[in-house]
Amino acid sequence: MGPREPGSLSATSDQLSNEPRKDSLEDKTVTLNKPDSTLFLFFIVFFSLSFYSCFWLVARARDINKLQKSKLTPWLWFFVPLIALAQLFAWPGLIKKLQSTQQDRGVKRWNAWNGGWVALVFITALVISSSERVFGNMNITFLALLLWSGFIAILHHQFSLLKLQGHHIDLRKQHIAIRIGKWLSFVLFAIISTFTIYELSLKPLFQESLQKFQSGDEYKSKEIGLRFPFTQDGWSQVPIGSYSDGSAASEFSGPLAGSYILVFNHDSKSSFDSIANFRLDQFSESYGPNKCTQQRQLLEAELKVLLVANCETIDFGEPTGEFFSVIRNGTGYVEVISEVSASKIPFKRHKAEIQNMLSQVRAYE
Amino acid sequence: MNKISGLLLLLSCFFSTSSWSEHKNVEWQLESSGELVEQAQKFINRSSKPQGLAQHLSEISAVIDDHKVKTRIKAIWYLGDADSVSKYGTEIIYFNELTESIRFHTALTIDSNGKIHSFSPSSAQVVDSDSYTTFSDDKQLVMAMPGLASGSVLVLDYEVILDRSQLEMNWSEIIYVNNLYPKENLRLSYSWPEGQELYWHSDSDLLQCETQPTGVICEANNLSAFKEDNSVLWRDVLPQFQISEIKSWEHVRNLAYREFQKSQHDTSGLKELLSSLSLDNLTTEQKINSVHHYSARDIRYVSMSEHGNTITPHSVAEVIRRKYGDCKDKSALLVALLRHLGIEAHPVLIATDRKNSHKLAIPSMSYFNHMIVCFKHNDQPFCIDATDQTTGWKHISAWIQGAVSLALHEQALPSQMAINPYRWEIELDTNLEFDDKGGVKEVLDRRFKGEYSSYVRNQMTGKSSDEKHTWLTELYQELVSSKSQPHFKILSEENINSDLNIQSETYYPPFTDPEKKLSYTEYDYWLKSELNSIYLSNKLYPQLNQGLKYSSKMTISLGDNWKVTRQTSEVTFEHLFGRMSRTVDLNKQDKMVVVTKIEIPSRDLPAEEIPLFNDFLSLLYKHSSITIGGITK
Repeated sequence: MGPREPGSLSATSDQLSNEPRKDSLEDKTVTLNKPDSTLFLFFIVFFSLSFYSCFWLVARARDINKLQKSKLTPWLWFFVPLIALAQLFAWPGLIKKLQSTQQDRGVKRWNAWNGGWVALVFITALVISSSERVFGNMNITFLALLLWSGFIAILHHQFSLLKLQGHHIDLRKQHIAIRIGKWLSFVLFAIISTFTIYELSLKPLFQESLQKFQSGDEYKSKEIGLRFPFTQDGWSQVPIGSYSDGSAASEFSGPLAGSYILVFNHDSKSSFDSIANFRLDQFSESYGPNKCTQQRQLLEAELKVLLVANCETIDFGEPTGEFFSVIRNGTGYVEVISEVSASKIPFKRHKAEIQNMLSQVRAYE
Repeated sequence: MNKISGLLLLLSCFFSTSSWSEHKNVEWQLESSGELVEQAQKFINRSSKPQGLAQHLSEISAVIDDHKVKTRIKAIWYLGDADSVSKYGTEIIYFNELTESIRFHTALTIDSNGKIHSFSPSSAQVVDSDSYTTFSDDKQLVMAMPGLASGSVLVLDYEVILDRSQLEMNWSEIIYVNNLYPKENLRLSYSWPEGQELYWHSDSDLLQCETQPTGVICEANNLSAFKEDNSVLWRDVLPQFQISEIKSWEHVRNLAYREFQKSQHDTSGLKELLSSLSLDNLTTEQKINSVHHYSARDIRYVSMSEHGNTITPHSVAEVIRRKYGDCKDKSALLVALLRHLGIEAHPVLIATDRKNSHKLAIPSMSYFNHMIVCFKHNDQPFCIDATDQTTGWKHISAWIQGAVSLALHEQALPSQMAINPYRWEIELDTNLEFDDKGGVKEVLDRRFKGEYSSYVRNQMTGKSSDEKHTWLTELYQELVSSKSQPHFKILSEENINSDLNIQSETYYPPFTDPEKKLSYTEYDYWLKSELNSIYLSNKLYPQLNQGLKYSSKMTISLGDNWKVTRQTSEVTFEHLFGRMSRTVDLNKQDKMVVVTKIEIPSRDLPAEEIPLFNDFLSLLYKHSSITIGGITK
């Protein structure tokens, strides 16, 4: 789901359908585009991560206007799928228009499951817009998106019935360019979304897990010279190369979509400064200057220094952070680094856990 | 002035440091045989002998009567290698020419083949221990022993006769049971007349002592050598046998105070002196400043500690008139000046080579070799060493901190002088500004505090303005950069009661390309230097960490070329040995301000903790650098 623009739209169902009702339609044949298949619509809405439904709604508003001489504002309907709250007013208005058009055109009136459809589609929209923010769990988001696509497909089916069975409606074939554009978009959306869904949701399911960790478990490796505890569930050690270019000494997949921990070994020619400066410069080049802080603490019992660095920024509207710790071990230095990008609430929660874990990084000799 | 001093020293070497063997205090009755020589010969024929230097026999027998103390000393030394021959082949016997005489019975060496080489009295030298500023009646009898080679034995048997009637203080003696070389047989014997009582104490487990009705006899065998270390006050660690005719510290205090008070009887010239110091309208602290400054800097150090003035100061009038004196003379004047200001000042005896007051088991004056003045001001105790020309009166001179002291007032007992938790205290304010060519201008302000300011003032004492600048430049170049040409300004140099401020300005020519991104490391050499100076080196004995308090504010401006992208790390190090903190702030002018604080309080560290302490310093050293990154604007 793309970034939202809260407050940029304050339309109500009245505004969306501010045309005064007429008791009867002028008996005039209307020419409309032939509807897409319901299955096609279901998949294109899902693959476009609901983005296609924005265009679809604009087109349906136009159809209603043509069939009923309504004065819906089609471009305003573009934003309805993007704003969950707006849907609370928009869907009942649209259903009402559809029902009256069905009635006018002699098609069996769809009762929208007596308001059940509206309630379900609204709840689904709410889940889509907030699941990642609140839970940081993309599986829920994709599941809700699947349902959302289904509900839109059901509504599309009603529009298709109206077009196919309604009186005085002529259907014409869609322009070849539009059809080609739709299929190209379908393919493109299918590729992108499959990749996205795989990366964010399915990959962890298919990813080979070498060892699973629960909160309270400790990772120890004499070979790497490192130990640290896990303070939250859902961490797994994964094969080298799962997240790094293969140069990491150890890799871990986290409970939050796309979250990971990488462990790197550095020889004794390195230093705290050289390791930290490299990372901080890297972050600064990607996200701008002065986004990082670093703190060195003394582990008194071991007379060792632990460097902990935090880099944070807002990237495409989402908090993004890179966190790392460096400590000396017997052979040189070991660096533990984690990246997180998520909505505000899960980011904050996950960041705290990561920082807690990184503050407990120790040399294991 | 220096040339004249050198000439005087040279003359004193020619005319006053040595004399012929027929010294009135030294009598020779030498014999080449007897029980002691037989014992030495038996030893040399022994199959197993120690390595290096060893003492086969040390026998000290003293007979004390009302007028004299006759001490017979018998010693058989073994010099097992060339090194010990070289170092210890010349015997030196210290004596006071007014109170002591020496009678020699045996002085010879036996080589490893058993051949005896007798010492010829004509080759004995009596050397004056006086120097350019110190005069006393102490002499050294120097005997370069003949025929010594690796494996030789040195045999000495002599008597020291002390005339007690000439002593300013009571008689006492300290014998070190163990020493830096092994001793095979140690025998001590002290006897005194019936009716008189002497007090003795031994803290050695190996020395077996038996009290006699009028004396004490002690013996110890096979005493191992104490191992050397880098920083040890031997008097604090070596087991000792102490004997004295004084029973209480009160007696010592009364005796020393009585002698001190003699200096206060004639204070003529004091009022005129006070008048010349223009003390009217000054606050009490300013008055103390003034009289301290006068006694420390305007009365030069010359010690006339000859007979009658070994523990008794010269009169205040004499000190004012001569404008010179030693520690007790300066203290006498300072006490008189302070008392005149209404401040109850009192003298305090100091044992500069002792820090362990528990080792002073038997009351005696002989432990002490220095005098200072202490007083209270606003209920706060202060102590002034008037021989120290560079330490303000609010700080105790570094060299006597922790030393054993005996205040000559009330119920005082030997105790330790206070130790400042931070002997080395310094504040730095540095501004580094990059210019548009990639060069850097550094403005540095170093503020030395307390004893540290005294140390730096001491280093600059006697140097001309150019010499000071050269010295500071060389120090800077050695520490920071050999190519730098800093310009210095020294503030508050003369006012010993304030911090010493050294400011410098240095320009470093362009060393970085202003068109490229910047990654700069400031190595903070001053901090590194301070840390370097407090590493400890003892391996066997405790050593005092003198304490460091370092505070630095460094402001780095990247100028018009770069914008700061990366700041240095903050630091929070808390440890039993001390702490280091570093905070970083990027101000609105895009300047990085780094504040570093290090506090390592003074502490006596056991030998086993010293490696850990040094590791702690190394850790601070490694994390002292400051880094900054920038991109071109």
